[in-house]
Amino acid sequence: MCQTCGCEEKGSMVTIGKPLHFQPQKQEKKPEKSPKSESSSPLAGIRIDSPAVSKDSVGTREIEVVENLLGDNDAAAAENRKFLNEQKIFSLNLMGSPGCGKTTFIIKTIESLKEEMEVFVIEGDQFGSLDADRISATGAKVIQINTGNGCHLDARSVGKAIKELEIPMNSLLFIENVGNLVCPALFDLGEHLRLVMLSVTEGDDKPVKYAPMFHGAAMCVINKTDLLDYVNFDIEKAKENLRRINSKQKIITLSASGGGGMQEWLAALRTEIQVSKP
Amino acid sequence: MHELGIAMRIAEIATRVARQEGVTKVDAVLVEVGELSGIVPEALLFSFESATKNSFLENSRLEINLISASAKCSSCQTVFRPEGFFTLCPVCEGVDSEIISGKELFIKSLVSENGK
Repeated sequence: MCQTCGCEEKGSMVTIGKPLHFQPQKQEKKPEKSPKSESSSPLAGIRIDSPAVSKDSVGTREIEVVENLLGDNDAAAAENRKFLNEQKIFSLNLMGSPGCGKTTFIIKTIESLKEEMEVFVIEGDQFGSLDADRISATGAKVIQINTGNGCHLDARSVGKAIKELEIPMNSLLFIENVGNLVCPALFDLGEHLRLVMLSVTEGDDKPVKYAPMFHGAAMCVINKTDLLDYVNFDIEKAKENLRRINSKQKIITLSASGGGGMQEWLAALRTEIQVSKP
Repeated sequence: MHELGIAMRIAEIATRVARQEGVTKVDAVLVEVGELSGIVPEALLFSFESATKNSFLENSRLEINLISASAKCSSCQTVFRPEGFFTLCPVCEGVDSEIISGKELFIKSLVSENGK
């Protein structure tokens, strides 16, 4: 069971694969919890904008706790960020729907940056290593995290994968999150840049429908623009929707599979690396 | 989808604090949840019951204070209540605003009605 979001069923486990082109590593198994049965009496309540006050009865004791409920993930993310900064490794958390083109985008970026810097990749998928195998074919070192029934990557498993990859200083690290526009939005991985990808085949309304994801990303890449003539996607409408949700977001349009726009992305990436100076 | 894990985290923290403080019975666990936090309150209540079954907190109730979202317009500084993440400033129709509340997600306190 995932300790942070509980999204896995009992008995499943997160596995971190072997770094491809690297020495074999052991599997990681998360602790399991015993199953709980169905609930009964609804004793609890929901109030709106009315912080609870202790009951007036004599002897009531209220113990202040004030602890963030995503605190364990946030702490692990902070550790990752500290490590990456110390190692001067720039990291990106790439999120987006399944099939929006994340892996192709990473491959094209690796190919373009070959002479410039070393690129490492953490691949998050529920099952299998198809994406890691594709990345590996470029010569880049990649590690696969299989989340099992989990719907997102969390900072702790990413931290382990970072250590396994043994990334040299001044490298670039891509973290390809599980294809999902909902859950990954909540989980800081310790990245420097949060990037969301939207492909034109998905529809220009996605930013509105999955607002938290688009609100939290500093950059949005609109991919597959070579298909614009064939799909009902209004690119100006999409940009307007993005601006309304996050007016500070940088928007880049491109076609990773060869339709142009990659140079603008690479320039933006170089700027981000420069500005963050990890 | 996330609520069960969050409920388990609440139970874990509440149990730890109760033990530290020598509390033998926790009547209520109070949590603050912003309406933009990505948590469905009803699902959290349900999950808390499941997560605490046959445990120290079995008879404890979860009390959720749902905090409304508020945003401040970066152009005219008006504070308004946004509908989700997608709202124009009602005064100047500016798109640039900052969310100032509604993303909270924390455990506030434990209540023991007999003081033990």
